Amino acid sequence: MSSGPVNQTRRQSAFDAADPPEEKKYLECIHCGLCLPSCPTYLEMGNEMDSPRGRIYLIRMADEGKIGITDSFVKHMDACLLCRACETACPSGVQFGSLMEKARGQVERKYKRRLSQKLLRRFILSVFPYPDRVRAMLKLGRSSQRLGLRRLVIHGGLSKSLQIMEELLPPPDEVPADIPLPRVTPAEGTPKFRVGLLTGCVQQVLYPQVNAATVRVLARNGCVVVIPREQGCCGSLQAHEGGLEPAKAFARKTIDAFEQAKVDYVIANAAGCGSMMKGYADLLKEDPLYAHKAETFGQRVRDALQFLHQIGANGRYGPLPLKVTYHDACHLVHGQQIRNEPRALLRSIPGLQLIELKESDFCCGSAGIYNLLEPEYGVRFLERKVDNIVATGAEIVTTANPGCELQIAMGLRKRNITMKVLHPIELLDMAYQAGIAPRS
Amino acid sequence: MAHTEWIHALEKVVGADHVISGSEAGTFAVDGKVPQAVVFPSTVEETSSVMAIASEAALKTIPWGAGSQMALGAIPARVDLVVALKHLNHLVDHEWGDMTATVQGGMRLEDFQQALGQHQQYLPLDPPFADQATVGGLLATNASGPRRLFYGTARDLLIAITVVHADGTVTKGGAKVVKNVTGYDMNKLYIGSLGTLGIIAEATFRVYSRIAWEKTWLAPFLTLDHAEEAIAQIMDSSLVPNALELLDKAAARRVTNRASIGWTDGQYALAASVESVAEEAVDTQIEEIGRISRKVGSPGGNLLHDEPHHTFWREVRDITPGTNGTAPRHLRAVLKGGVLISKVADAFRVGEEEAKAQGLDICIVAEAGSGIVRYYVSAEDRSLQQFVEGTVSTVERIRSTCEAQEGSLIILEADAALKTRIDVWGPVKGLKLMQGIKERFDPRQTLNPGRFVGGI
Amino acid sequence: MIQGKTRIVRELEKIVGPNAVIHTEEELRVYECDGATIFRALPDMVVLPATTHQVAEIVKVCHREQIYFVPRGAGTGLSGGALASQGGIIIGLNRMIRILETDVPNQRAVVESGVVNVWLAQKISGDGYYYAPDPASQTACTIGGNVAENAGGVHTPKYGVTTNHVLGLEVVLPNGETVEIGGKVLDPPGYDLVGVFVGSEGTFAIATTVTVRILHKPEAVKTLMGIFHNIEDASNAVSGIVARGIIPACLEMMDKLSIQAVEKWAKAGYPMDAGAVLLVELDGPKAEVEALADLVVEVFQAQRVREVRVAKNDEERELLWKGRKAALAAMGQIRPDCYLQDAVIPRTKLPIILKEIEELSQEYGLPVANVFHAGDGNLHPFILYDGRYEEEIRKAVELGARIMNRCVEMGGSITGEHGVGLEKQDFMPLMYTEDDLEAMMKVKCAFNPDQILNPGKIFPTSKSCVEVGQHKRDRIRYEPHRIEKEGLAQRF
Ligand SMILES: Cc1cc2nc3c(=O)[nH]c(=O)nc-3n(C[C@H](O)[C@H](O)[C@H](O)COP(=O)(O)OP(=O)(O)OC[C@H]3O[C@@H](n4cnc5c(N)ncnc54)[C@H](O)[C@@H]3O)c2cc1C
Ligand code: SF4
Ligand code: SF4
Repeated sequence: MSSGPVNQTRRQSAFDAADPPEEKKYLECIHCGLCLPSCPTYLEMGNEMDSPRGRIYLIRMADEGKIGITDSFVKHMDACLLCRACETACPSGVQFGSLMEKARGQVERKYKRRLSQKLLRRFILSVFPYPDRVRAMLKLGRSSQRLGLRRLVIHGGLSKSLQIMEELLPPPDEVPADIPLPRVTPAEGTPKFRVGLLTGCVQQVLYPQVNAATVRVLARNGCVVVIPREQGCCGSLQAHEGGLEPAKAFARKTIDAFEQAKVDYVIANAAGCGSMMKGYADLLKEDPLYAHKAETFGQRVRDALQFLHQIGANGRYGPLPLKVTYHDACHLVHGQQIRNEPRALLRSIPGLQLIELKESDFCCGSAGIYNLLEPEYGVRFLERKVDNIVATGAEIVTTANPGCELQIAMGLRKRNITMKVLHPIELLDMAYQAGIAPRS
Repeated sequence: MAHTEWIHALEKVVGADHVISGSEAGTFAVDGKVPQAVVFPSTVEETSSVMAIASEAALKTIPWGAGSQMALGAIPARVDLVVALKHLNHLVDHEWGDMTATVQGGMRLEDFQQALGQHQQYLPLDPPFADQATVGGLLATNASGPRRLFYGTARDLLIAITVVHADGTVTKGGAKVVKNVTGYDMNKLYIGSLGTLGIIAEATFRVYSRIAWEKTWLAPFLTLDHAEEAIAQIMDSSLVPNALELLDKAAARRVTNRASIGWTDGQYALAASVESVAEEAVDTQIEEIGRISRKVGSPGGNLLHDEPHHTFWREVRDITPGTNGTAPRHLRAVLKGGVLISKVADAFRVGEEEAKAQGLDICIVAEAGSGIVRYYVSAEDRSLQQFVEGTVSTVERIRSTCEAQEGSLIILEADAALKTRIDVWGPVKGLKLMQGIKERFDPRQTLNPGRFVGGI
Repeated sequence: MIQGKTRIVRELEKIVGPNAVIHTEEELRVYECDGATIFRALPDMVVLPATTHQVAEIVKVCHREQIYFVPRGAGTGLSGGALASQGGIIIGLNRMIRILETDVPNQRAVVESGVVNVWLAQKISGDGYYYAPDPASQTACTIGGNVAENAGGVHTPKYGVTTNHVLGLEVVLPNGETVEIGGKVLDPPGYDLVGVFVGSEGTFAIATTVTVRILHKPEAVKTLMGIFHNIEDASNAVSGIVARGIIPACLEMMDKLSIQAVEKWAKAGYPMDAGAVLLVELDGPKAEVEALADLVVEVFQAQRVREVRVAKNDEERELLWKGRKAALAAMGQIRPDCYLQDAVIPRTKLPIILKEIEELSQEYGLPVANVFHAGDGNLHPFILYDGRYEEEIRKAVELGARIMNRCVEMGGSITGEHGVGLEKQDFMPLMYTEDDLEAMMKVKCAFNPDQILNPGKIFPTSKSCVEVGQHKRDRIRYEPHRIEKEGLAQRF
């Protein structure tokens, strides 16, 4: 029996020196297992390798040189949604997200993926962080919806992923044309804050109306809203998939852009972006030029709903007699610990009935680009989510992240359910409109 | 070993005046089987030596507390020796600050309660004939009473035990602390094992403080349906009665009569007892129970406190078969059924029906919140055979009703004539495992052979 | 090592499907320890059945091949119970997660053994009911694991532990036979098999379904926190509460070090400079709760309480408890490793033992934090050390042993809720004689005669079931145990 106190004579770590998962961070895991039932992959798969504790243990074993970066190691790293539900559950404060991103960074460099997988990743990561490319992709997707792109795909192994990508794109008539937003929008009334808005790669192409609504709602609450033209992607998709170097480059660019704009707060309306930007300090802590900047920047980042709640959004809403439910985007609830704020805002709209969603903080399977990379599991989580959404009997499901919106909308479309998917801020915006519309 | 030899050996251990044999042993007959000798050990060590001799001499041995529950169980295969524990009756300790107490198996529950009472503490076990029963006896039979609703049974109160095994080995289980998972929970094994695994020599309990206020609401009901509804509503509420007892018409008449409570005949009674450190908490709960009862059709009700309250509950516990307790011994039987809480009223119905069909007198009392139903069956002027036939069919009918909803029915007390006709215990789940345990604890079948389930 | 592993993997895959048999070393690593990382043992295989039938089929294979096997719930156990310490197959029950029935009128629920404790509570909460045993790990641990360990929780002073709430089990015996014992109805005839099964630490059989009692929620709940200048005052207050006959639903204590660790992580508003806090929860009828609360405050005041806080609403109440429940994990913040003890003492001995633990902590130079179930006298000294140093591990283990020894000397027990497992088997003789242990072995052998199920746990020495009960005929007289004679330990 290899039991009893162990003396750890260190073997060669399976990781290299470039951003390995930190020993200090994984040692904080005391193996208590309290995170297990919060983890969607553990619940679905029922094995401990696909649990947070198991993944941390694998990372630790790899770092201690007891296992290598093998197929099964990678399999269990890949299967993680990075939804960070485990961080919410962990009483020991383990920073799972950081560990996983760094482990994935190692995987990307040290593990040879099958060619098809490699191409897929490269393709996705070369499109999504760039709005222009997303736009192009949307066009292509639309034509493929007509032409049946799938048949043109040679690599059989990818067809599932590409099929999902196709299905994920909203039908052409649902995506509004580009809504140009001014660089600076003045506040309504006396300006109280000067805020910058991150418009996001996916958000600005697929959900331009969300950005427009955000600007209006912020302005209505005394904000001068600045949209720096120099901003790019926040880097979250790259970081998610272990592309730490490109992510750092994006981060530096974003910091610079908002620094130049001289804003009090940096507002994100996409949960993934907000969570990423709040975590720049960890990403850039080895960068002598940016370490400090990243920290002060991170402190100024707010999710749009968090910000509105914090400043006490003005309540001049008109009534919206709607039955609404709310899905917690992982990167809002687990990544930023924002749970009550969006609900409180929705509840403050007169006439609106907020129905609690069962397992509301359980990942919908979108998870960055998880739905494309692990389509089979992505769909399982989506099915579970859609079942719960349908059970609420609501007319509208809200969520504060474009990835979740796309994913849930796809799930509903596939079942021919006509429920609308909106960002909560769109409802706030509608309520404000209803508030000024002349009553008949 | 020859007869004289083992008697002599026993006398050497406990002294000649602590062994009786011959006709004197007659009062220690079990189901009519008279032992060759009765031995009275005074210490754990003596008990151990007695058992060593008994197993050596292959004596079929029956432990005996106060004898109040000796009618329980199947007829023993053979009875050679009775080990009577009335001298093993000391309080070992009472750690009142820790609320635990240790007592020898032969101590009468009543004496134990008295000792605990010196510190306003008590053991919340209230089995029938609590003033006669010994602690060891009530553990071996897992006897319990109305208060189990709140305090549970022996399995919830016993924290440590000392047992003398069939071969004289003495072992302990548990510890004198209220929480303990070191090793297996041996306490549970011996509770209700009817002395087939060992003699309970010492027991440690967690005890409780006496509570200042206690009152009872006694609600009459004209039909079982109404009573059933009241039980369901009381159980599905945040009320915490410490006892909730349903009495059929006969039992209600008997008990109210004996406790001098004004009562109109022909009604079922539902009694709920409530206790608390705060009188207000008792009163508000009693009020609520009264309200629920009236709402579902109770035509009135009595509030009992102080002496009438105590008398009432003693009478409920100590009911005996026969309308006036006059039925001859051999024409009496007590049955105990276990059913789901929601089926207690059904268990009454089937008992009433079947007794009527068989022309037997019946009295039914249930711990309604626990799903334990006691049937007191009797006849005044029938032949033994007629009585046995009628009772057998009653047992079969009720048993099948109980079993249909995952429950059971056992015979607590009956004449040997009845026991030869029907299995006292009925079917038992996990019997093979039980036999395996018995086989390992008492391979020579020394203790209580044949009295327990499945011939154990 | 299992003979013919590939063949057996294939056979098991036929039973449970290919995704449910784990057999590569990297993946098995994840199953090499449970909540007590001080012990590690690599299993040969892990199988994840989804039904009782599959469990039975797996066990039949183990029985036929005489392969050791060990059930595992969530692996939150703290005594190494779920480890395949002698190799063999781990049967993980994490796919048996259905709540089969909630029978509110009869106050019963039937669940598969892999159901997480808190799921049951959540399921019945809407009906106004709850499941009383609530270990601090309740968001993760399984009800099957609770049954095996006879888990406690914070509600034990009033509501007892798991055994007081489990009424029936469906179990798969080590020969593959499926048996039901007990059930929804009370007092089934025969030996109380359910009673001995609860707390058997997975050495009797695999529980596949569990029938439990559910309770109606109380009318009122009141949570009070007493903040004390020092630990003596707080422990005297505990004795005071017990001696007054007050039965709180919960009575928990935290010492200075734990208050600081927990506050840092759970931010529950605990004062950082307090010597000790007592958390008391009273429940029941409103008037009774109020009366009891007054009594508790009186007891507190007699011990110079610094401040009494009363949770005003559910949120505040949750907050007070949040910190307490996070204790174990929060300890990870003080030192890298933590060795958690679980001994029990009679409640009146609290002030003495806490003082002694403090002295021992100084003697060994290791911090010891105490967060524990004061109402039951169930101590939880967290011995904090750094496992990267051999010397510290040795000291931690020795310090733990000293504490256990003292507790037994004061009439207590070496474990109150975490079980013996691999961790405390060598300490069993402190409490039990060879004969006592043999009686326990006999019960085990009735269930598990080949001892292929979870071997090498609980007992200090291994004996085959044939040897059990074959002791010398001349040793039948009552004899005090050696350590008792030498005055090392006093039996209760
Ligand atoms: C943070 C934390 C707090 C804790 N707090 C408490 C507490 O307050 N009170 C308390 O009592 N414990 C506590 N524990 C200990 C632990 O959670 C309990 O012992 C729990 O009951 C174990 O459940 P599990 O599902 O994790 O079982 P596991 O650890 O997987 O297994 C424990 C034992 O049970 C056996 N087993 C598991 N399932 C079955 C089954 N179906 N049939 C038969 N045997 C089985 C295993 O073989 C093993 O021996 C805590 C643990 C942690 C990590
Ligand atoms: S909850 Fe935190 S400390 Fe516990 S196992 Fe999970 S990650 Fe580790
Ligand atoms: S991030 Fe999500 S999927 Fe990944 S381990 Fe944590 S809870 Fe599980």
